[in-house]
Amino acid sequence: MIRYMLRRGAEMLITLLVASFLVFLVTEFSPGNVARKTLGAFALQSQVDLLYEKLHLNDPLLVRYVRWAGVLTGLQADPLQDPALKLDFKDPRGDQYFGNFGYSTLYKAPVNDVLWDRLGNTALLAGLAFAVIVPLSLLLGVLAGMRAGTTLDRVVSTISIIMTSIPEFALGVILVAVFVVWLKLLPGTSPLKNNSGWPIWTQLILPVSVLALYDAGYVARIVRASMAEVMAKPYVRTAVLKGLPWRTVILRHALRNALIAPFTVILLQINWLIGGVVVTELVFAYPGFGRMLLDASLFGDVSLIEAATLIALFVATATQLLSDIGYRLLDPQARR
Amino acid sequence: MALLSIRDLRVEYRTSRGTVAAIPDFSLDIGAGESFGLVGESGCGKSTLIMAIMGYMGRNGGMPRGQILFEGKDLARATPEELRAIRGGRIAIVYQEPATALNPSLTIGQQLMEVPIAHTGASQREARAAAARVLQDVHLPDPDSVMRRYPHQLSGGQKQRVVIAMALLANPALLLLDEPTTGLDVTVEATVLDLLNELRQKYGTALFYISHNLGVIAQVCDRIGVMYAGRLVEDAPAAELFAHPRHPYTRGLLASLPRPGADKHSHPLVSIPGVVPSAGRAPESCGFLTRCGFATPGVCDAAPVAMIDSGAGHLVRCARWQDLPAEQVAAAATRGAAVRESDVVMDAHDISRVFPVGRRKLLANDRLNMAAQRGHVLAVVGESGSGKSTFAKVLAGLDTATGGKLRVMGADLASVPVRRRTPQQVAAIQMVFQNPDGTLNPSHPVGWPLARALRKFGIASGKADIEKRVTALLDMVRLPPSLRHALPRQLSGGQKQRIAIARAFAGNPELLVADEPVSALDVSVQAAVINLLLRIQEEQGTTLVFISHDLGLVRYLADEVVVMYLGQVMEAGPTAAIFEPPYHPYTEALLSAVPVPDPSIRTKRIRLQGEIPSPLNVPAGCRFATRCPRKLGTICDTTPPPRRDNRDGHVIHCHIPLEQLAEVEPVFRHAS
Amino acid sequence: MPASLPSTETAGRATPGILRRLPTSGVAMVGLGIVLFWVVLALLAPVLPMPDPNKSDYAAMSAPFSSAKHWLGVDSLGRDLMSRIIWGGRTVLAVAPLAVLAAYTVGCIMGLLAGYYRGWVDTLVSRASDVILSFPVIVLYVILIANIGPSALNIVVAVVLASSPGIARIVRGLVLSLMHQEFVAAAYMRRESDIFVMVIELLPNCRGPLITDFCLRLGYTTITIGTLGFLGLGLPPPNPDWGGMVKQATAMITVFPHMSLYPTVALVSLILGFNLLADGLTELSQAD
Repeated sequence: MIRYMLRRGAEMLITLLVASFLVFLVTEFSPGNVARKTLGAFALQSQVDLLYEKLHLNDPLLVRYVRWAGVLTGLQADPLQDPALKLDFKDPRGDQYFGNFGYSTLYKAPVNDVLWDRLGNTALLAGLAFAVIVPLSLLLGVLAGMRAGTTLDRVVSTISIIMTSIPEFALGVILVAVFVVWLKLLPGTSPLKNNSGWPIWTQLILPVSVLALYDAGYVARIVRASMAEVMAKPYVRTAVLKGLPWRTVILRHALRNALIAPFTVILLQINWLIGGVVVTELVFAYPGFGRMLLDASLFGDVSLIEAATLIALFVATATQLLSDIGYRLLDPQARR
Repeated sequence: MALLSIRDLRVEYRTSRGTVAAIPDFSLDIGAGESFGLVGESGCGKSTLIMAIMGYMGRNGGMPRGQILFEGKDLARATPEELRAIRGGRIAIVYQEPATALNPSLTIGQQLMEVPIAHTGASQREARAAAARVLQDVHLPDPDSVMRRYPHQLSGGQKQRVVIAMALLANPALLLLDEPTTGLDVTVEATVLDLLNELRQKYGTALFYISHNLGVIAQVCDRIGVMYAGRLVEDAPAAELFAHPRHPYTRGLLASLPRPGADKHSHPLVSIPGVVPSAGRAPESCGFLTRCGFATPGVCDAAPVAMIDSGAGHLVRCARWQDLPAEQVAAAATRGAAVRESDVVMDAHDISRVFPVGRRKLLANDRLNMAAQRGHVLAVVGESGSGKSTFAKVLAGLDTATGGKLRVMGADLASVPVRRRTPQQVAAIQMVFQNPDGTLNPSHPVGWPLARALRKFGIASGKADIEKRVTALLDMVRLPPSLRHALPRQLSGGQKQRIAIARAFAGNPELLVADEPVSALDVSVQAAVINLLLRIQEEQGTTLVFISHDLGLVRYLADEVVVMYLGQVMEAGPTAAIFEPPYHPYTEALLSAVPVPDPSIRTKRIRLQGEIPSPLNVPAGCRFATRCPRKLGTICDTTPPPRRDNRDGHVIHCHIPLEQLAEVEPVFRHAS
Repeated sequence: MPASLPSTETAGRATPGILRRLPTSGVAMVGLGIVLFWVVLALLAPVLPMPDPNKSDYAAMSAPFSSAKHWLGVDSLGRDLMSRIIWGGRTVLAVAPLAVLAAYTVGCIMGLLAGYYRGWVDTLVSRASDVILSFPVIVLYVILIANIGPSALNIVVAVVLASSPGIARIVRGLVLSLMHQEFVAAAYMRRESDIFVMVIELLPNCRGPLITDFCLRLGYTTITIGTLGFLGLGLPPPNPDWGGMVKQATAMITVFPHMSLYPTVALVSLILGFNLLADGLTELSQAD
């Protein structure tokens, strides 16, 4: 088991490395050169040329990637903070330290100052959504799959399929139309500030609902399918024909096996939620990681994009690793 | 009063095509402590009946008519609570596939202990003690360690013992057995059947045993019923049924089995024409009408035929039973004696196939030697893990040997995969596979592989020529030409195997490798496919290498036999020599385990203990030493056995001298 | 389930006939109906008697609601909403299937190669898939489109990049299990080439699960296209694009909710159609 975890950990590092290089490739390879993006549209061409030279932007992509990685790991100083450039980019942590994601050209601040607050806000949003998704989808999925073909099953399945057919922005629009415009019960934006007249908890209801409803429908369908499949297994028949009470058949024999497959899916929803917040945060003007990533991408803020995707990828690969390990613990046949 | 009394039971299923009566009308009595066997081919409604007794029908099933009286209570009308008390308590089931019947994520102990807890309100401690006791009763060594294990950590035979233990835990009055040994190796099957007989005495439980295998039923049951198309067609004491089968279907079943001692030259198998009708499609008067050679218009197709008492407790549902000839007319022995030429078509010399597994080696084939004569049938027999299928693949070129020589048509093909063989070599060595459902590509019509083979082997080119040849191939396997446009799923298992045979013969092969070609088919279909295969093989003078685990079948069709165990040849020789002393001790045990469908034949009882060793860790001396009932001593464990030559090329690899082996009593003996 | 279905001679995997049995599934037929409704409207868009989708009717702007001239009203620039929705549907129904088909081509090739050859080919394909699949999907789309620019072609490229690893994974799994089937060995016994075995013997037998997945992916790609439009990464204006229409109208949702609700309903109904179709197909494939 320890060997397995070490191996998976190494694989995860490699995945992160390759993926971050791909992001680097896409963002730095893009039309419009990096120096121009850094300085903004109104900079003089001579300034751009100077920066271009200073940053060695005509070096091959791989060399520049290694240099970026050097800055991140603290092996190298961030060239943008060089006072000679007169960019006035300053980081109170210094220009050379481990975890230096560089300087955000969009927010005119070190990435580390921009990133973490927003990530915290997003973690709150995604955490609340996750706390709704898991019990809701498990309950509905198990109840529906337990007796496949019954009215309850049909109702749950129909609701789930409708929920998964509504994109988040559409659900956002619909919920806003109903609860904000029509019923006037909730705020239409969620800046997480107390001065808007709405308490903070009311600002969270709609964003959490948008995230949770779409995803709960999806997870419920997976759980339902797994439960229905397990209920048709010979060992469930064995349990019934042993004369066990229905409760025991469900709780002891069916449920555990039925949850092995969805377990992975449920953990992967963390990965999905990271993407899901992009849209939701835009709809509700929520000051989070997703909207920051969107803005950074639209602006071309290379350092911030790199940092954000690296974090997203880290969360994604870590949950993947966690789900693989959990799977091994849940399923005796996968254990060695 | 009977323990179980089924009266006029009708079982129906609602399907998308309307309501189907899987069992139109069924009546049966089983007494306390009795052992009743129900025989029939797949699709006859046996499993449906068992599940109806348990009240486990699924949402689309129902019993609109009839009663299932058990200890005076009608199970067909019982409440869920009443059913729950009876299930697992008074009636228990042993399932066909123990691997899927056990919950993969609970330990054996957990699964056993819940039975007494649910039925007798036992405490954890009492339940654990009861579970350990019953595991001992089914002869599982070290019950405590077994209880801590998960199902996937046990072998197939051990799992079936656990399932049996689970069924016996609440001391039921009736034990339902649904093909409990199907899928197990024959030596394991024999020990499970012994166990059932032993436990029946000990617990006094009545058995209701369903199987397609008459031989297995004959080992365990006092009374046998024959089921066809959802109805009981014959019901008689076991000895009486085998001695005087009355119903044409029963007779057909028996005739399609190779008789002990008979071979293809003396007693050709007789198959039943047609296939079992799908549920609800059988004629109302007599379900067997359309396949019966004795059917008479006006007599058989008029009114539903009732069960008739023919005396001596022998019931038969046939309007013409008195008119049938006393003995099944044996088909004339049309086959000539085997060609006796000494022209070796295939000569395997020291063939080895070693798979590296990590740092260890898996010896699938270890220095195999065998030869096949032109026009002969060479049978390779052995249980699972013997390496017989690996050898078949090496022959066909689907795998390559890691050592040794394989001479076919003057070339050494041991390490030549099929891709590197010449078109002539590939056409000359063809293969028929085991699984009828996998042998044809579900996406293409069945004529397609035939046409493709003809083109690839350069036998035919041009549309008209290929069409003509495809028709000829279909005709050769007795299938109508129109069938070539059908998709595989529209064919029965037997028809699919016929197509597979036609495909193999498309290139006029010298050597045909058949890997268990009929083991997945029903007995009546098996006979037809075997007859067909042998007819074409004889007509074309093809050499047949027949891989099988079925010793009855091998005795019937083989000219020479090779017995394999754990990757090595134990014994080889002419068929007659293999089935008579001197035997290799493994052959002897194998023969003894064969369930003979004839109570008048006494079988010597030899049972193998323990499990087959892992091919990753084979015994250093004789491979069979760890389980050999005739083991001499340490020499068997340490030294590979010498090759001992008997007459006519009969070879035995054993430390015991031939003279001593020749003195053992024959395995089969007539009871008279 | 031997207890609930009597065994018959024709039992077995009958997925190939699944499309023929489509009419027996109510769910699938409802889904198909919705999809066909949009397909017919999209095909008829040029001949329907509607205002030009990009022409502003300044007179209608003061009262942008439903009228005899503009059945669903007009948007903030006075353009006819119904016309824009129908023309927008035309875009989605052209781009989504094209993108999914392209992703399928790439995914099937990768999956076939990985499952068939295994070894280093499999390792390469699987690792590459892992990297792509570890990106949160929307993040991947946003980064890609933001950098390569929003256009129909680029959306197709992004969908191919994001979806083909998933498709490859499914195909690989199917191929791995099919490789054990004896008809593959039978093909080798006829000396068929690798390409022949992959394309003629294996691929057709993957179609049952793939048809279902195709419909699901159509639905999901429709969501993606809408979402990208909403994020401002959809088709460049003034082309009508459902997601983009919603984005433009959200600012006015308190005053003119219909401007954002109508395109939302259109989008949701099309996605629902694809999902119902997929659900019905799954049910049919499990019925046998």
